[in-house]
Amino acid sequence: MSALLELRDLNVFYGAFHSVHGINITCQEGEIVSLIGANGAGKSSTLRAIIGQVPRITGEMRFDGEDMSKCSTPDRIASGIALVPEGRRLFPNLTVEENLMIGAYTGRPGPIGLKDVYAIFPVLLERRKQFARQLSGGQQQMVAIGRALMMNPRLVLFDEISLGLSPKIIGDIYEVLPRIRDRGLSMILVEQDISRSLAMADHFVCMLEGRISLAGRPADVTRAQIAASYFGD
Amino acid sequence: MTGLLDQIIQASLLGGLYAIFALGLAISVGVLKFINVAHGDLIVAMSFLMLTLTESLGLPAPIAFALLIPIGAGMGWLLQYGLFQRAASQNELQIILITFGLSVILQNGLLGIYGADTRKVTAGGIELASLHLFGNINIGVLPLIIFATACVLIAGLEQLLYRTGLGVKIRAIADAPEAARLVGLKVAGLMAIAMALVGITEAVSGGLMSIWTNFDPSSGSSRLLIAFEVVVLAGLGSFWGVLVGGIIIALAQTFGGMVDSAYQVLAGHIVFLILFLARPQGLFPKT
Repeated sequence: MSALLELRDLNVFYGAFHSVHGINITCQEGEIVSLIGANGAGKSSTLRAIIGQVPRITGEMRFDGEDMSKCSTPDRIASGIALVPEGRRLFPNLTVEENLMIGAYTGRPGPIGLKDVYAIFPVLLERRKQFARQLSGGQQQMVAIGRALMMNPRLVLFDEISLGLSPKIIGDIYEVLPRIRDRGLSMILVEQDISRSLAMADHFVCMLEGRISLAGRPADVTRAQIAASYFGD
Repeated sequence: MTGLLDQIIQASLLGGLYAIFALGLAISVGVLKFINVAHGDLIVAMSFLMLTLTESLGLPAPIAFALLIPIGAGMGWLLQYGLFQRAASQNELQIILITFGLSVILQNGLLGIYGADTRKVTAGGIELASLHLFGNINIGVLPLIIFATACVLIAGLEQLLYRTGLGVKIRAIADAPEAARLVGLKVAGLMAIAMALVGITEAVSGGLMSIWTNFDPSSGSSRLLIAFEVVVLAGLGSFWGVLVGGIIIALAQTFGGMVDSAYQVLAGHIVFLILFLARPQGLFPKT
């Protein structure tokens, strides 16, 4: 079986700065991959490279067997990749429903619609006419996830979804992720909350200074190994 | 009493023209979030183009006006792709300076081509045609058409920008361009479509202005000032508010002119300032 996403010898550059150094990551259909690492390790750059939002990359990115290294962001999204960006990145002066519909406009046709998103996040149905800026941080994160789901993706990239949220809200958000996986979607999680992220993941990749320092199944490694690869000791 | 009512009706119709002046600016400031200092000059350029089509090419005014609309759309689209898009990728101040430069170029270009004389397009009998309402009150057909055009444009823009997917996408790219890129919106193409809409309103505005009032190459700044006042009074993003704002300015000017003709323009500015101080967010802000 070919992988849904394959990064081969991926390098990311911001001008002269070499951010990510020749990494290889694979994500199978329906799999959750946890991408962990300290600040500045290159996790978000990797996600941005997958969605096509970095200035320059070298190496190869294949999605569903197709080389998408040179494709634009709209093409990548239309082929089934969606990003839940760090900091939510909603449209503050659009209503909740309009924010969600943006996902439908840019994504690919598929079974997930407003009804499904409202079924996952009932509070958004109540607040569908409110501006996104009027929502709490947790509700905004729900909109960001809902917008990504409205794209009917095959792979969802989650960038720091728990950042700035209370533990209760983080718990609520994480309860939703298995329901998303049950729909057959693959996920890559970039997360500061390592234990929560690893608990969900089929595979993990730990990054350190732009390179992969450890990878495998969470059950196959010890906390000490993860700590060493995370901090570079 | 009838005289007062007559003045209110005539001023309200003039408010329709002011609303059309302001619609393009309402899109660029209220929706796209950038200030187009050349807006008034682009309207005047369209008036001069209308003059060329009718006088030099001999086209009837309605046909010239119909031609002006796709030309306006193309002009807006080209300005966005050829000029504003390059500035938008740098910073927000740069785009204002570029539109300021465009304003200077347009004024001097029009002056060089058409001279400094005041001009007006002749549209035939429609300019003098009027409808009798009641008593001594008559309304001109042309002002009525202009007012109706303002209403149709406003209804169309409201529908397009607030009720369609295209409108949501246009508002999204203006609201958070970086987020728009992350979710796959084609920012450059959507901005060009939005500026084509602005160009259409400028073409309609310039075409109708050329028939109703006099204009010269330096008229743009006064049109821009009226448009700014109307947009600020309306509140950002509100198109029906633009019509109300236009009518308020026109009413103020009319009553100021009744006191003394020298106060006509001043009265509009004073009423604007009073309302602005009382309600700086505008009368009907949408965001």
